[in-house]
Amino acid sequence: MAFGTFSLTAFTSLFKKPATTTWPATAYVPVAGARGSLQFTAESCNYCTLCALKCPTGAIRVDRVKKAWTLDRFKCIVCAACVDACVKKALACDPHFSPPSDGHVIEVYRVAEGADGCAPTDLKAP
Amino acid sequence: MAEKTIIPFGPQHPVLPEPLHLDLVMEDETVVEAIPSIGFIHRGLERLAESQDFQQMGYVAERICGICSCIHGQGYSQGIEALLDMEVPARAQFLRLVWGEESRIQSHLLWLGLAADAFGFESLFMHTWKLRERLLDWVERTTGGRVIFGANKIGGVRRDVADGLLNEMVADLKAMEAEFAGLERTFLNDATVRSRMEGVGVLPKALAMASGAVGPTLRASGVASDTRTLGYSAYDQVQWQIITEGAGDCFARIKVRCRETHQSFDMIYQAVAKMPAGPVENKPKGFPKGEFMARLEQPRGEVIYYLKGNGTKHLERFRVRTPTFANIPALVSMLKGARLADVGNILLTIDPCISCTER
Repeated sequence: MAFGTFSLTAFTSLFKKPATTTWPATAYVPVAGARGSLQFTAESCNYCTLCALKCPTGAIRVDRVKKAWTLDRFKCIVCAACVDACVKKALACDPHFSPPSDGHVIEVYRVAEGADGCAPTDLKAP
Repeated sequence: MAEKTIIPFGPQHPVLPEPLHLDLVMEDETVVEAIPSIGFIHRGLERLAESQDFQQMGYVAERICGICSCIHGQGYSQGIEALLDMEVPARAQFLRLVWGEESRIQSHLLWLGLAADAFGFESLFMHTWKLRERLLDWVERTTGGRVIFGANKIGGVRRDVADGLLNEMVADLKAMEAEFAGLERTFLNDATVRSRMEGVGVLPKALAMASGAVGPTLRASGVASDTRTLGYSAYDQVQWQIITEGAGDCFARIKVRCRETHQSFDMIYQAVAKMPAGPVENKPKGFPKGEFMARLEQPRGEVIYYLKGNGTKHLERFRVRTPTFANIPALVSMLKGARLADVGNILLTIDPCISCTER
């Protein structure tokens, strides 16, 4: 039984930097290799639907006829099963997390005629 | 004889991170009987196995619980690998050990912090969790996930880690272990900690065995039982021993977890030093058929996975017996005769994980 056993830890802490960061004054630096959020590159995709078949939560839908790729980020658990399955490397994990959302938006990616098509061309509510 | 009253404890209570309800039958300040009830967060994950593809189910199995996620994924994978009769590469087995032990360290640090919070030592709680965050950064760097590791897959592990990064991790883990030793000094010697924990919630050895307790709860009562002795993963290739304490009280359960944390650090050092080269996964072929029971050691104790395959892509039955469920009868025994003020501490020392228990 002893007293003051925490004194050394408390005293040395006075001379150390805070363990927390002062976000947003200090920018958040994600850990390299983290599965932060799912990123899709439309021009690499061949709409084979493997990603949608492998997705355990049904967050991805692929329309082969309209060449549309749809992601519901509220359902996506960023398990990266689709990233592993994608043979065309059209899917990847960005170490940054998805930004907060104020509503349920389903992202629809389409390759528009004459456009790069790498950004969501249409965002619609469910 | 004093009149008996019933005091409801939980499911919402400051010491409980997850919902568990106890009806405490009291005589004055003493607990005469504790009647537990669960069922507040049942999600039906076992039933999902019957409709999900057996490979997709691995991602669901990991999400049975946030704190024990790594070993849930590993247990499910081991079960399917046994049904498919497939080999797992040696490097994958060692990586599973490294991540499994990191999972144990982060879980024990989380619990030690919660215990410090429960007995009112807020600074100790903050410092313990600060150390845990540093470990989680390493988990995220090596596996890609912070809470849900996502490291295990059927046939191996999902990503390889370069030897240079593993050595860098070990160097930082050694610094973390030295920092943990400073916190451990407080946990094991401080007068305030010992006054709240020593002689409280005693579970004698015979009662621990009779009530089917598992994990640190059982080992703190002097029973040397640890499913890692089965030698799954690479546990048969590192030097370690089962940690036991004899007193069976709350303080003994703190001691067991502190000593296990050191042992887990040591196992990681050994595994990284012996890490074999080679592939990290074998591709599964065919569909699972037959029955298998996988037994693994979670941070909270022995967990059992029962898998039954019928030769299709869906499992016919998936069942998990979680350590907290096994520890609830022991908890009821510990609570008999305890003071009301000690109920929170005693309850916390079984490290209840209700998400696992109810799935």
